[in-house]
Amino acid sequence: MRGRPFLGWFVAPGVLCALGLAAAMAAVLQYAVRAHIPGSLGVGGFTLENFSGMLRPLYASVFLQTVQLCALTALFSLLAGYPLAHALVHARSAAWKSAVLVIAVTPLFLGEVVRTYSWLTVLGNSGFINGALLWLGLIDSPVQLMFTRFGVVLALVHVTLPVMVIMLAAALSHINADYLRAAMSLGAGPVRGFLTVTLPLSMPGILAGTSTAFAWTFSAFATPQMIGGGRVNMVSNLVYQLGFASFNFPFAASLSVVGLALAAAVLALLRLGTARLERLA
Amino acid sequence: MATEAVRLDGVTRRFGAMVALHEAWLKVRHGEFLTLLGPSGCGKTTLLNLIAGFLAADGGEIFIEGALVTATPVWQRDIGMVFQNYALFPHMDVARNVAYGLATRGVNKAEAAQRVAEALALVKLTGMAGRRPRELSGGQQQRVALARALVIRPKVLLLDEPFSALDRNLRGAMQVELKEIQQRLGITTIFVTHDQGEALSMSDRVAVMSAGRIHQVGTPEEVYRRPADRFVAGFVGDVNRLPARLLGREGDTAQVAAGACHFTVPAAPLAGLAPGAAVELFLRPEQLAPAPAGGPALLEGVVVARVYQGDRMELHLEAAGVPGRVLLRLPGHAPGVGEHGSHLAVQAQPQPDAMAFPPTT
Amino acid sequence: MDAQVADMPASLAAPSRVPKLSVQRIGKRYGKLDALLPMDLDVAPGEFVTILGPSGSGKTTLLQIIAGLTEPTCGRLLIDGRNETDTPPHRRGIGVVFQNYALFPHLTVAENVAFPLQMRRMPAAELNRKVAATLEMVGLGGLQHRFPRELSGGQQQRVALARCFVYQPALIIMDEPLGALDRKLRETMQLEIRRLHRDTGATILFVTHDQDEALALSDRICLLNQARIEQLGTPQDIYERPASLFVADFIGLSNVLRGTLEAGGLRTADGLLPLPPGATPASGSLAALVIRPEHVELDPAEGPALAGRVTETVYAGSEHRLVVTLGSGASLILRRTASQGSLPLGAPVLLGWPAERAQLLRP
Repeated sequence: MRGRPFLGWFVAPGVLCALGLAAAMAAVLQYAVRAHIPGSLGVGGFTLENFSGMLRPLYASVFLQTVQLCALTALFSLLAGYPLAHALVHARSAAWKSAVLVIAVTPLFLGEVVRTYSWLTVLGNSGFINGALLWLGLIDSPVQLMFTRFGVVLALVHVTLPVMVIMLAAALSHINADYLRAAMSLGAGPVRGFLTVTLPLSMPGILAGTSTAFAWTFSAFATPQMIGGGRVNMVSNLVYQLGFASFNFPFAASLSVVGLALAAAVLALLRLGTARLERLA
Repeated sequence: MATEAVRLDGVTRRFGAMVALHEAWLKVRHGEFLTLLGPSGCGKTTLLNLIAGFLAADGGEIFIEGALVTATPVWQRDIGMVFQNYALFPHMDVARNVAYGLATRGVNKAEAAQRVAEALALVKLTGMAGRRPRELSGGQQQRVALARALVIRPKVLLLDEPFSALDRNLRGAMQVELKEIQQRLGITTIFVTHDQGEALSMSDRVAVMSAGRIHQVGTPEEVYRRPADRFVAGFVGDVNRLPARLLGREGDTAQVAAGACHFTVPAAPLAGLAPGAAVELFLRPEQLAPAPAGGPALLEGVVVARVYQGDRMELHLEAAGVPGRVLLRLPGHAPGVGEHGSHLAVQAQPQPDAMAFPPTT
Repeated sequence: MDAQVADMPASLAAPSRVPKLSVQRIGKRYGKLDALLPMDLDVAPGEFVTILGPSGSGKTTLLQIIAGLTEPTCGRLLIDGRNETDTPPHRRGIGVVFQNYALFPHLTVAENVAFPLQMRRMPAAELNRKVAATLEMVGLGGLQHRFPRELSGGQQQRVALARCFVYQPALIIMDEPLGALDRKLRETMQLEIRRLHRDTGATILFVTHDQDEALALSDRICLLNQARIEQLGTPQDIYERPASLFVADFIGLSNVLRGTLEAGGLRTADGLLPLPPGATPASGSLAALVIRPEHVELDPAEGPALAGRVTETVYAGSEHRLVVTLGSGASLILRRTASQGSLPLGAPVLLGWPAERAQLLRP
């Protein structure tokens, strides 16, 4: 084809950004393989000790917990998001649609810190939930919600729900309504039609939504920091503690690198699944 | 059997303030091929969706095989439906698509496999069972959709413009094939189309619709040769509208005069008009021919276009006093007749199927 | 004089003039796939040529090469005798009318039509005069302030035609322009395009897959199949003297009887059939006779008489089509006018045709 002369100039800013990011990544990588000199911000020579140190149960359990929290968050986000997305696409009344849209999308407009603070007022011992339960007489003393995995997952689902709903709604709205009509004409009731037609056809959206929720949660910092309060730790919190409390930059860097690799591996697995499904669809 | 396969008693459907279907009364006989024909927005798809159960009626009752189904959900109506875009399940192969309706009915595996094989043989797709829908051509996908609808032995087969996405030669072949299958199985079939040629060639009866109303239900010859009103006359085939005068009435027939010619037409549409009243004479293009020199002419006009169509030549004329153009269809390529820009006197064939209607106000 | 020629622009009668468009040995390959085999096509000034063919026959590729949207692998493209093979699309002086109209949704009808003139920096007074005259020509006078979304499909197509005709490009390409319209509107627009062609004398290259449209509109039809030109000729040539079984089958209805040539005729399962006068084929080779349904006669006075039974009747309003199955199982279609009427299913019939109406083709 004939040349497009402006193309080079248009991509220049993007290339600059990419170069900056690549440089930062290179810095983290080279920190990860340096020795830590206690009491100093400087680093020593080449070593792989940072990585072998991660095998200690303390750190390994944080990795395990992070993956568990991410998986739970993605799962509950999917379970909460699917009905919302379905209503967003298929609701007859415009009022319903806009209500769903408001519920699903407004969290996007609040920063993560603001959102997390709002959860403090809901989950705290004198917060909304405990207050309501006490007032109803269902409990005698406040239930511990803060600093629990339940509380962290609940707040993280709130963070990932909008993107989950948007991705699912995009997938659902691309399913031709005639597929379900055809299933109904062939004798399938609403439940059977959903399970055999709508659900399998929305699988690409499910995979895209869950993998995005997973990746987002993996890098979450403020929510586990504030709701978990040090008792529920994720990789990002550990990196922060090591970097800015112990000033062990090399170990913090190596944790980041392994966390990144782990997240990438999980996403690659999901990606593989999506590609296989897309070949089917 | 005493009851009709499908019966509609005054079925009405509104969308907001718009009446999509106004009090439709229709009886479809057992084993009949009935076509709902009309322009887009006439209500034919609404009517089909009401029979299928995809839409709820705002008034009236629907019966299938004598049973009231107005409130029955789609999946309990025992219908087979073929969609315009085929709507084959993309995540299932051909065999599972066809077997879908058997699975919902709890048919056991062995019997289902046998019936799927029979259905695929019926539509000439034996050997394609393992293919995915997107690996098939448009015509093949259409056959799978037909097999999927027929394999459940539905009480009535509904088809919504099934051939409109196919190109012309393939469409012709699929029309013949559908008609053959329908006759072999003797299945009651309701077919929706906007293509009048398709409706005339395939149907036992045609219901012509416009603006939410059924204008006429009749055999293809009835709706073409004896249209009930101006709309049917104009929509089913081409027609020439010529100014004429009512001479008189005699029983079921009336005499009208146009140019130097007299015509006998059905009297019913002209009820209430006095002799001498202005009427519009409707004549099909194939019922007109060039008049021999000096003979009595129906009209005289200037040829403004000659359109070659292979087996025939179409002449478009502009004639004084005639609104719109006059269309003639001559067999062959009609050399030397009606050159562009020439004057042409036109007469009618002997005993044409002429109709006359009161002029529009 | 041939009836069809009466409709042709006078320019056609002067073949010595430089062709408006000359496609010379142009071909296109994608890897090992031939999208277009090297072909030649000359279009005379003022001529209306239709490129017809099934999907995948190469008509879109040919169109894109002429418009400059695709580079040919080989060959030359001349417009008015100038080599334009490497000229970018917007400098070729070619106007294109698209199937989806491609009107600018944010501009009014008048602004849409004025657009190509503004691109050519035409003075305002002349521009306004031209836009008004062109809108009048396509029957849209009075609608100049509407937006495309406020128009019907037929009206939008008229705007698209006006936007193309207004700047008088050397060549107008119409890419299935009527594909989105329903039958009655399509026929109206066909007459409109014929009139515009006649009134402006524009050279038009029209692409369609609809054979009736091609027969109705064209001075000549270029029928493509499998990346090559199957036949190039007037509509009457193509319909009455198809060059191959593909052409006979693609254009209109055809009856095909296959057999082996021998002295005195074509030996088929239904007997020895006479050849059309002038055919001098080699004995022993396989061949097919093609007869159009309108030339098949019941109880023929002369020629062969094949016995068969009516196995299907198709009502088409203005005519009946009968399918007659012969003793061998081969079937023939014939047309009967409404006044001749149909025949009952199963009725025994004798069929024939005037020998000169048959075409002898390679199988």
